[in-house]
Amino acid sequence: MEATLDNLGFWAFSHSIVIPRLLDGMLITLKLTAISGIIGFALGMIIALMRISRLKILNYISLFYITLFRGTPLLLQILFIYFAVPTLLDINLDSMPAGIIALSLNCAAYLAEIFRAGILSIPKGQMEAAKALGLSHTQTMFKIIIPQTYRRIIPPVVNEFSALTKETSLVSVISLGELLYVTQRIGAKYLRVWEVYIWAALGYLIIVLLLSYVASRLERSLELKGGV
Amino acid sequence: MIKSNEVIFKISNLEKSFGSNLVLKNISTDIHKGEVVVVIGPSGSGKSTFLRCLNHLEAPTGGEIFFKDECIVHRRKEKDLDLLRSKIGMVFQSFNLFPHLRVLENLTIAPLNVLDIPKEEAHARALDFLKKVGLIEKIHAYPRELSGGQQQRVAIARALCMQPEAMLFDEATSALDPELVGEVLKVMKDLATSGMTMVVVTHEMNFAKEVADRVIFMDGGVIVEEGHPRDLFENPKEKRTQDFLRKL
Repeated sequence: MEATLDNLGFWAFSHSIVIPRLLDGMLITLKLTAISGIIGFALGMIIALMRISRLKILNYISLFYITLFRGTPLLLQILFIYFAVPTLLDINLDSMPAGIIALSLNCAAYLAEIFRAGILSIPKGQMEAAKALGLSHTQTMFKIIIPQTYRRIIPPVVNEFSALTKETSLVSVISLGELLYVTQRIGAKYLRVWEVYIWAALGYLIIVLLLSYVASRLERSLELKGGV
Repeated sequence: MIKSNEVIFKISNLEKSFGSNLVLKNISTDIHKGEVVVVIGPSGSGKSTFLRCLNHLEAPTGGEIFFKDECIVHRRKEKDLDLLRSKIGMVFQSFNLFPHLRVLENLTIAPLNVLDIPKEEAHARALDFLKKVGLIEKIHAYPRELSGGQQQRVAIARALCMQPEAMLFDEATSALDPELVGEVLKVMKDLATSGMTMVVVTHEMNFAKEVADRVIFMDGGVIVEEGHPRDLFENPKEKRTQDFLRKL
């Protein structure tokens, strides 16, 4: 007697159908988060440095960037980059690069403000002491000021990364096979809804918890080094 | 007593204002090589601002300052200012050690990155000056593991590692617990004896009496009176100086 898909129990259905496919989706979600996070981090740092630069023009460019990406919905940004940009520039853009670009650009705007706040939180005396020793502005920023911000920006950066993890679900609208997209497809195909969504929720939770765990380890190891 | 004819700082008609607030007016004086000049005066008299103008941490709004033969006020490029500051050591009231670096790294970061000297030489210098301030055993400590007095001694050693031609002290003992003031003053006295050119803003009148070659009394952004400590402390000519010294 062969069990049909319709009368499979919760565990059997989860085990044979849902979990293997969701794991594929989860991998895509992880990939999206990691790549967008890394690009966003680097870009965010550049924008933060532009924001506090002594060159007015850089201030304005970065302020415009931050305002634009924080002031419009991420969903709109994703759709714009996937549908509008290829038309405007007459290029082909797959959903994966489009998703990564949108998430990175968006994430960078938020991280830039976190970095800027971190840099501004370092007492003025540090900058003066470094200058008084003859260190250049660039040396002072990269060797004295920015290293002191690492530990204090970990909590808000982790916050941003866990937001990013969950926001990757928005790229399901451009048919990118990440966790939520896969979930919706299975749900529709087998007409079983609550099982698939429970597993999807668990998938996001696991990624975010992993992230928090790594962050707390990192925070503790930095604490051992001088406590700044 | 002028120890040398070589002028390190030549200050003429120095003026500094923050917005409409004029904090330094018409300051003129020369500081000679090897001279220890102590600047005293009430809070808000402009003495710290004066000191900070000497290494251009504050940009003067008028007048001129020469460091040796270079004018350090007009048309300065960022690079020239960095070079100037590398030749002038500064010690701050709040120590300002770099908390993320160990003592050794605090001492070597500027020699390595500004003077571009080899690592071995920077280490040797750091050890030498740490010995001089009596903290060789703290070489691998982080700043937060040190007392205020120890931190300030490390800060002095950090400045000395650049082998500066002059040292500026901005109320170096004001943030210390009373029992820790002595150890820092001793290091400063040793430094004065060794012939370092020093400009010291302080409230420690005994230091001024014992160590200074010249004392400058400032009030309201001007130099009210200057002279040998014996003359200035025992026979102040100006009424404002007399009033200030009487209140101590």
